Parts: sequence; C-alpha cells; structure tokens
Amino acid sequence: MDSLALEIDRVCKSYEGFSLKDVSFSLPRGYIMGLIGPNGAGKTTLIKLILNMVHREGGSIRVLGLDNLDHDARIKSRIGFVPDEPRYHEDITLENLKAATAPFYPGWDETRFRALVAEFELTLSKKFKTLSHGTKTRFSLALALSHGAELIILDEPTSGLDPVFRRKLLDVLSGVLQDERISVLFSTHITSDLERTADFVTFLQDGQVMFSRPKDEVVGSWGVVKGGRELLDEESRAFFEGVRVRALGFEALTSKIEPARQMFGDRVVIDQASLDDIMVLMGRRE
Amino acid sequence: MTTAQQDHGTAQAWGLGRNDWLLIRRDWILNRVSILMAAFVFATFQVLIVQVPIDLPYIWVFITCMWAAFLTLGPLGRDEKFRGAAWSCSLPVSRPDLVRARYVGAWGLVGTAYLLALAMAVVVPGSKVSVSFAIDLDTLLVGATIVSVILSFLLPSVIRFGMKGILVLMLPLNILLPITFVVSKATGTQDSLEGNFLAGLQALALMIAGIRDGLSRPLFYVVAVLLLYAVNWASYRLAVALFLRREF
Repeated sequence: MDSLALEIDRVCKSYEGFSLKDVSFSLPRGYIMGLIGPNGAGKTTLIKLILNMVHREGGSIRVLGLDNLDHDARIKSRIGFVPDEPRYHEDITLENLKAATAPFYPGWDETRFRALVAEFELTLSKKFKTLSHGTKTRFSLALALSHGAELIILDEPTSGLDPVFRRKLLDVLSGVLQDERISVLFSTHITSDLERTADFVTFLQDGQVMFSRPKDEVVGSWGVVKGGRELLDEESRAFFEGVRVRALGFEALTSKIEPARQMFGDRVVIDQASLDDIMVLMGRRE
Repeated sequence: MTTAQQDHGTAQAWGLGRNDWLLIRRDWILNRVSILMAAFVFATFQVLIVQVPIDLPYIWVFITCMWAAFLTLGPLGRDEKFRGAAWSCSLPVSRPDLVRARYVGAWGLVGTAYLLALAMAVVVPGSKVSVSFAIDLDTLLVGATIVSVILSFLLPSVIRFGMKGILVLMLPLNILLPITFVVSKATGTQDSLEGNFLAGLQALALMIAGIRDGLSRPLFYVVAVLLLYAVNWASYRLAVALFLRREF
C-alpha cells in the first residue's frame, strides 16, 4: 500500500490573472493536512485539480497511489468531498439526495450515515433548499463520511458555520482519524480550526506553495517581531519574511528568531507566530 | 483526454454498466416530479392531437417524436439550474459514463413518451391514429430518425454549453436562413432555391425508397437501424469529447 494519501508534484494551472505555479506537496496516510491561504490563493483550484474537475496544465497528482486522471472513478470512490458551497437539486429531500448518492459507493454504511444524521441534527424529510448554509455543509459532510472514504477533502467547510458546529466538526474529524487509514485535506482560511486538528500545514499564496511542513515545526520556527517604526531599515528588513507597518510601530514575521533577538535586543518584543500571523504577514512588504 | 479515459469510453461505448444504471436511477430520483408533470402535459396534448383528422399521418409521428425528443431537455435544464454538474463529476463515475447515461436516459424517455402517445391513441375515443400505423416498422423508423437527428445535435451542444447550447445550435440557422432568404430574394433566385431544396428532399426520399426496394425488407431495416445507431454513436463520441473539455 502506498504510504502517501496525496502526492502533488509540480502542478500548474493558469487562468486569466491567476496561475498555480509548480505546486508540490504530499500528505502521508493517516494525517490531517491544513491547506491555508488567503482568498484567491488557489486552494479551491487545487482541490478541483485533485478531483479532476478542472484540467491541469503540467505536473502530476497521485491520490492513494493512483494517478488521478487514469483512475478518475476508482479514486473518487475512495474520496469523501465536501465543497465550499454544497450544491444539490434544491427541491429534493435529503432522504432522496442520499438515495441518489449512496449506491455509487460500494462501501456505503447506512448505519454510520444514520448516526451522523442524528449527530448533526439533520431532518431527512426536509428539502435541500430549506436548509441554512451550515446545515447544507453538515449534510454534505454526512454523505462524505458515510462511504468508508480513505481521503477526506474539505474545501472551506467551516466558513459559515456557527462556533458550536465548527467545534463539533473538528471533533468529528479527530474521531475519524482514529482509523489510521484515513487522511484529511482541509482547506481553510480560519487557521484556528487547524491549531487543534492539523498534523501538517501547507500554505498557498498567489498560486505558490510557501511551505508545506508539520504544523508543530511551522508554529515553533516562526516568530512575530513587534517594535517601533524607527527600527525599520534595509538592514533590519533583511531579517523579515513579511512586514506590516502600523501607525505606532511594525509587526514582522521572521524565521531567524535568535539572530533577530540579538540584533534588536530589548527594543522589540518577539512572540511565537500563530498560523494566522504567518498567513497574514508572509510576503507582505510595506 | 487520457488514454485510460479514451479506453474506458470506447470499451463501454454502448454496453451499459452498473454506473450507467445508477446514473439513470439518480436522474429519475432527482427529476421524477418534473418528468411526470411534463408527461401529463404531453399526454393531454396527445388526447387532443389524436382526434384531429390529418391527411398526412406522419405529421402525428413528427410532432410526437419531436416533442418527446425535447422532453429530454428537462433533466438537463434542472441539472444546470441547480449547478449539479460539479456534484456529478465528484461521484465515482467517469465523464463518458455521465454522457452515456444522458443518451440512454434520453432514449428511455423518448421511448416511454412514445408508448404514452400510443396509449392515448388506443384509449381516446375518436382517435384518428390507428395502432397498426403507430407500431408499423416504417412509422417507428421515421420516428427514430426524427429523434436521432434532434438528439444528435441537441445533446452534444447542451452537454458542452448547457442550455445556451441550444442557442449555439440555433444561432447559425437563425442567421444563415434570413441571409439566404434576403440574398435569394435580392438576386431573384428564390424560386430556384426553394425548388432546389424541395428537389433535394425528394431526391433523398427517392434514394431511400430505392435502397428499400433494392434490399429485402428485413435487410433494409437492419441497415437503417445500423445507420441510426452510427449517427447516435458519433454524436455520443462528440459529446464525450466536448464534455471532457469542460471545467467545473
């Protein structure tokens, strides 16, 4: 069995005004990877490329050891996908949407589906159009988790969810991973979701992978430097991977924490960077 | 299109697999209310039309089959309305599977509609359409030809471009026909143009009649069915090629 759930190698895709450039990263089996990046960074495009919903222009994508173009249908039977905006026929009940979907998956587990329906407080007799965005996402998630998928792909699943269900979703994901065959690719721009769940973090910005590393390594190796504006010059900027200037001072992201401490001493405060800090500050030049 | 996709599409060209039936079943679950409503309107229309005394009985075949062929747009239109294509493409089926299910579903719908029309011809008092005419092989062949021509143009363009594919299909006709009319009127060739068009149709009819007379009846029907199959197959292959280019 291939040890990688997902292997993306130098994938390219261009649209007018945007392109994914040589995107490469891999997700080992049994782990959760957070795919973070600002809106428009290319997260959804990348997920669509994995699912063969858009056509790549270069590189290769292997899902569960198989090329995603050559084994399109076979791979999709092993993927659970939750889109950013679930779309089904609006005038159909959830029961019928499930009936239209379930037979495609040989591993469909009706008991598991019923348990998730109860846990997510879904009413199967309701029509899809009557649901809120959050409930639509819950239903989509229940479908994705009920057919024994080995790779779960979630595209911004927590956007539009209330905090209670967001927490529940994250707990469900943690529970899913009790089965070590299952891997999760979790795209989000709400980085706090990842702090409790993700094992790996891949950061996309302007269509490029800025880094793809274990989360603990990412969080431990970046710092946020805060100081007065008078400290910013050509020499000090060389320490920073991104700078945001404010009225009373600056915030900067650095991976050179110790050299920065030695250079600036007590004139700055250096905190450990959160994923949010990294996403906001990386590459920013002011 | 990758080699695997091509192989899959060719190998399963019309041999229906489990996925095809699941897709057709799925379409029925998602669209049955609208299909039943359309069937009700179609049946009501049939109640009226079978009572109309028409000199040319093939007019009934033409209208019935044309209407039945356009019924297939219902599920496609709903799929577009609810932007269901992305959902379809996330299911564990190939794109050729999705297209094939559309074709088979369309023919299933047309066949059911024809049976419904036939039932109306039987049960409606004063029906001018005889059952023997409606199930005559020539009648069925004419009907299948009408449906094949419509679906062969309609399905690839709608599968590729959505409902605006109908516009894509009709636009050249809507431009070319008036231009041809105006030019022929201006140049004084209108009569000969119409004459040539009608002569062309007559020649085609004569050619088909010639082939039918030249061949034994059973062989003629076999050849005709194979020709219609080929037309549908070519249309299906075109639709697959177009659908593989789509992005969602």
